[in-house]
Amino acid sequence: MNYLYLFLIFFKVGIIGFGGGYAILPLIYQDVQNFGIMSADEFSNLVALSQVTPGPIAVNAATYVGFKVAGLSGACMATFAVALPSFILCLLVLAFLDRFKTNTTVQSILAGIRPATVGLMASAFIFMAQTALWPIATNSEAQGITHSSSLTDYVSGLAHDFMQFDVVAVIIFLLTFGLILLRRFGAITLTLLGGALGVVLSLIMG
Amino acid sequence: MSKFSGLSDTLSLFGAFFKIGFFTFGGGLAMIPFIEDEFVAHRRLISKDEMNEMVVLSQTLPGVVAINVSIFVGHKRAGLVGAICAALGTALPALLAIVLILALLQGFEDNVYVKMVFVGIKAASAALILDTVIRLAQRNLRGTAYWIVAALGLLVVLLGFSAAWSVVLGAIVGLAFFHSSKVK
Repeated sequence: MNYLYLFLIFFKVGIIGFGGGYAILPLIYQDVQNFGIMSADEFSNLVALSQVTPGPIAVNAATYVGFKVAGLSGACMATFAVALPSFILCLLVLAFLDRFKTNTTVQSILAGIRPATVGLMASAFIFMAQTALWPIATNSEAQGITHSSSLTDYVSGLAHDFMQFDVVAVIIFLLTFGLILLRRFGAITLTLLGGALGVVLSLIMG
Repeated sequence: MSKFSGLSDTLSLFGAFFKIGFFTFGGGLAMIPFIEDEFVAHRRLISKDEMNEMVVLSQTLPGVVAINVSIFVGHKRAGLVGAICAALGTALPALLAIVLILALLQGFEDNVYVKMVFVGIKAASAALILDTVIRLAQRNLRGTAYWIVAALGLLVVLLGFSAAWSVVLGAIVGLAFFHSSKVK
């Protein structure tokens, strides 16, 4: 049964997960929440680990979730499921390539989906910022971004919890963003630096 | 190029993608320059135009972008078997790395230093994701209509609806308003 869940969750992600990487994360997270597979905190660990592990984030996520649910074979099942739709769709597109490229209906649908995936990616950022910078607020109220019942709940909850930010995390976040703007360091360097600073600053600030 | 898939051809596809998958961190888009380097510049197996088309298609279609690119390149070189080998090569390093880390972390999840490291890498990756969102917004949201669709896509998730509705909403808006004139 676990395998069937895994397969269905990730097969779905492979079919409707437009925009790649971060834009796919909300889809995975929502299903993981629905099936009670892991907490918001653990899912954010997985997203952070994806930055420092090789390969596509969605494959990292599939492997992580699959492994947690059913070990190595679960990891393989989830990865297989997320890749399978790609084979079907890519081969279909190759077979009808010219019609795919010139069909105005298909192209206008895709033109509409593209900006929507930017919105999805923004929600992935909000999720990460919430779980990384406001861990206490996120955990105590079990209020993952996709969990809030309404926008007003979400806003008032956020205002209430705003002061409970993690000082170390906020410093590392701002510092990393500043370093990103310099465009001199790669993602992996910055993530590893963040991890080192996490230990150093936590020890200094108690 | 012949579509005959010799054993060495498919093995070298697997090897090339395994190497690219192993050395690119943090996502599919990061892999594309390496794939171009390997197949267009270095081995001259695929023309620059073909590569561009594969990249555009891969980003257009749903699913993992790097897997999509691997399938197109693999298929071009050696048909279905080539596509499978290439995709396997791309996915395997990602799978092995996570399995390895999870195995190593087993029993250390509650270790105080491990938790400190995670506080740091999570904060850093939030900053990295923000940077990606800003850059993609700059590239893709050219005009108010695009910003509105993006905002609606975000709102759907914030309101607690399935992220799939963001995609559906985008598709409907695209079909209704982004017809031919706005399609590049």
